[in-house]
Amino acid sequence: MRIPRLLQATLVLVGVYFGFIVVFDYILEAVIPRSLLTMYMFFVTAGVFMVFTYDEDQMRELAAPIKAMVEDPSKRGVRNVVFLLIPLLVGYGVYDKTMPSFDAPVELRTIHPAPPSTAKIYGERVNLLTLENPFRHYETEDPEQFAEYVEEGAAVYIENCQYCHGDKLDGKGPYAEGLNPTPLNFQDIGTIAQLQESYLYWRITTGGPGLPKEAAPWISSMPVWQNFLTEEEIWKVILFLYDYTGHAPRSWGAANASH
Amino acid sequence: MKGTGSLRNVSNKLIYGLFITLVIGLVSVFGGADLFAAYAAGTEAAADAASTGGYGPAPVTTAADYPSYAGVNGRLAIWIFAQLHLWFAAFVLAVPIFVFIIEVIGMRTRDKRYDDMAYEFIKVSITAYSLTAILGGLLLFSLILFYPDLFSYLSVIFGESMFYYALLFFGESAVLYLYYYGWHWLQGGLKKWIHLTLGLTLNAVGTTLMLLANAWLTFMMSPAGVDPAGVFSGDTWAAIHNFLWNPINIHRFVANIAYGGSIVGAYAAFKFLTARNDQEKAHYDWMGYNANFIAICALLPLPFAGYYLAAEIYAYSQQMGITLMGGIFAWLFIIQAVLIGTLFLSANYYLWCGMGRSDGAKRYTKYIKYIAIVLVGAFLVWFTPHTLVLTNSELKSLGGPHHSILGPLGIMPAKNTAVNIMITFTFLSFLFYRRSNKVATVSWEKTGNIIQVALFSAGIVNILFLGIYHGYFTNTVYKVAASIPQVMTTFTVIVGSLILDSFIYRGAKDVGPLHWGRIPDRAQYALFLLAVAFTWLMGLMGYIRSGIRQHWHVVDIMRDNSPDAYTPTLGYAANVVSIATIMFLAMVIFVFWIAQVSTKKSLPAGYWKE
Amino acid sequence: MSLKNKLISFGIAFVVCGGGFLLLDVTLMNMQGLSLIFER
Repeated sequence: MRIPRLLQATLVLVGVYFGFIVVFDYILEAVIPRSLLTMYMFFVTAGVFMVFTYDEDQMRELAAPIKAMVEDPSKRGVRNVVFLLIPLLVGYGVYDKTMPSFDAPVELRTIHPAPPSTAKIYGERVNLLTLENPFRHYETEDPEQFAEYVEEGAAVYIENCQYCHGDKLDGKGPYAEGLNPTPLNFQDIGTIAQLQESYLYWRITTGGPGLPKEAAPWISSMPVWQNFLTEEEIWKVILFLYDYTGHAPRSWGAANASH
Repeated sequence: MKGTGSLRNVSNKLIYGLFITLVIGLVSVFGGADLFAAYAAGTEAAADAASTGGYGPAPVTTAADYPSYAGVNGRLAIWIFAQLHLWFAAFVLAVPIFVFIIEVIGMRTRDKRYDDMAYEFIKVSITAYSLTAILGGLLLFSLILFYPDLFSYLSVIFGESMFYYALLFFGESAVLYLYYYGWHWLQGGLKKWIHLTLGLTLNAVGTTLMLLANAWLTFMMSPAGVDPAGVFSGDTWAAIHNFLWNPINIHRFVANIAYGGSIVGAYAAFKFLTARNDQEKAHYDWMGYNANFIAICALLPLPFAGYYLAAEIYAYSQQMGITLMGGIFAWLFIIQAVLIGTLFLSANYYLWCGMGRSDGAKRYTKYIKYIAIVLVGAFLVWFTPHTLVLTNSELKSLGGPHHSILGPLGIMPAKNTAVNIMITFTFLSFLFYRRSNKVATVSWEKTGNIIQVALFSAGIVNILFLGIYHGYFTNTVYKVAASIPQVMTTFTVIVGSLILDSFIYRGAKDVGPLHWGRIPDRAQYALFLLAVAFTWLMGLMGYIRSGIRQHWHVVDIMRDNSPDAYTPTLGYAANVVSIATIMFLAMVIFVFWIAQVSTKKSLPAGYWKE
Repeated sequence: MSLKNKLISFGIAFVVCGGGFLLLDVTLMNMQGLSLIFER
């Protein structure tokens, strides 16, 4: 038996919707944000609509049951039920949306705020656009010396940073559970791999209090490390972060591309 | 309708035509650069004389330096005038480009319908032209009134070019009126060639105007030819040829064509829906098809031009780049992604609906659902944001804002891969459309099809390889570099299969005459959607481009100290752009209507004395 | 054309096209001073 087209379309939509939920929430065990799922479903619906209506005959077939439900005198019972249900559903939707909830409001916090062009670090105004890691050039010039600096950076990291950012640099240190927002995961391709070293230097030295206005609310618990570490120690930690995760800092020329 | 068979060839011809336009455009972008350089060499001598002084640093303003008139918010007024001016300018610059191509096609094929269509297109743009000038005047006055210090600083640097701009605008009007009003007069033989030359001149002048205006705005983003205090070196060419000038030139040139195509597509849809008889319907269906074709051809390279521009902004300043893509404006980029996806979806939908014009389309329609699945899938990747909107329970469940599966879809390599796939499959829709009314007669048709399938599959494998391997397992330099072979793969697939197709369908038979006008009304609304989405998109992205200057009039040189020197909330900005979009569309509907009124005549009986 | 022949023709065409694309990748990466395969 052929499934009527209206039912086909509905089944596809329902299938995709629950498919997303089953795959993400249960199989992959990483929930799909409901805000995103709504957007996804909007465009899946658009796609289904397009496929089911580009042809005039198919469109007629799709609309036939709806048309019959509205116009056919023999369908009076169904019509009355549907026309009663729709306003009720809309009413419930409105109620659900306007009803105050106890959840904290969703925050659109900017995780990677744009850096200022200059920042005051160790009492001096530093130009972040041109700032470079003073140890980076050893990577090609003197790999042994470089490995030593990375080692020193690792020591600084273990003494100071791993409590939150984790000994695997995955943002899952022993204290991480107690923090909101959680510490950054450096292994993730979307974090330090996308940034220049000067950006990391700015974030580490000035910490949460040094965040620009754009990154409000300032709920980061990142300490102001320039009060506790030396300039050299911070640059070495940065070397370690990239070395351990296998990422490379963002750079522009091909010259310094393949270390 | 008789004689519709030859109309199908239009797509082939338009492909060549658009290719030539792109070449001409790029040549004029860079060739124009030479002209400017030559002109600047002259001013350099003058600059040497003046180099000892004459130019002061950029003015330092206070809130008192920003006058207010009649309680009007200066920033809002300039924002809306600039936006409306830009939309109309984009439209009136683009239309002559493809009118010129269509006129050439008409001359070569000696098919008068092309000439008539070209004339109808330029007729639509003629009222829009005066609106462009009026809105440009309003923009200029508001700049002088509300931001006098900025304007006087810019006119110190660009004074001369502003003067030439005004002269060129005068020339543009003269040529446009000659071109339009002389259309029926300059017909046949040498006269037609003169008319064509006028069209070329019109385009050359129009493009130069755009290049000049682009220089002013890119100077405000990436100033050049001035020292850190803003003292002008006297070298106008350096100020014009600033870092972001050419990226914007290319992006705007291509986008204008796509935009112009979409607006005349909306015009054709409007005329189709109001058509009184089948003949009119057939005509406007044909016109809408051509306009949509122009829009899609220019839309396909557009994401790459945009990517190039964004990459150059990033390269110019990490701060601007992050503000653009990772910071506050990233949310508008999600809307942008959604709108671009809408453009692709509605363009595809229009093609699928159009397959109903042919009786042979049934052979291909069974593949449409697979194209749709890939398109929608790629589209979902394309707009998945890097930073997700999470409720507190979702945050808790994920253990933080980082999503292990969706997170990697938020960065550029995933977007580039998705958009290349979307373009490849949009092209596939077009290929099916082209084939729908043909039956190949060559003996190796099956082998040819297999090669074509292999070309597409290998291309898609390569796009995925470049996107996944270089995007996620190398560093940022490789990541950016790999986008070039990715684009070239898409391009190779398109060109390769067009060539292959032309051989397979050499001497092919037609299934039957095409039934122009046999298309559901829904397809016309897809054309409207295309125009509306384009307009809105340009407004939003234009705001972002301008907004990443933040509290600077001229980045790092001249600070904006007006009370409005803050970045408005996303909701406010989106509202302003949306209202401006509605204003623009209302004016466009007026333009369409007025084009119709001019052909109407009433003869009231007994009004005039006999 | 039998399915086997179809698959063989597709295979050959796919290898040729794929090889062509790989060559394109190598050329374009080299033009930017990079190799196709990333080395650290």
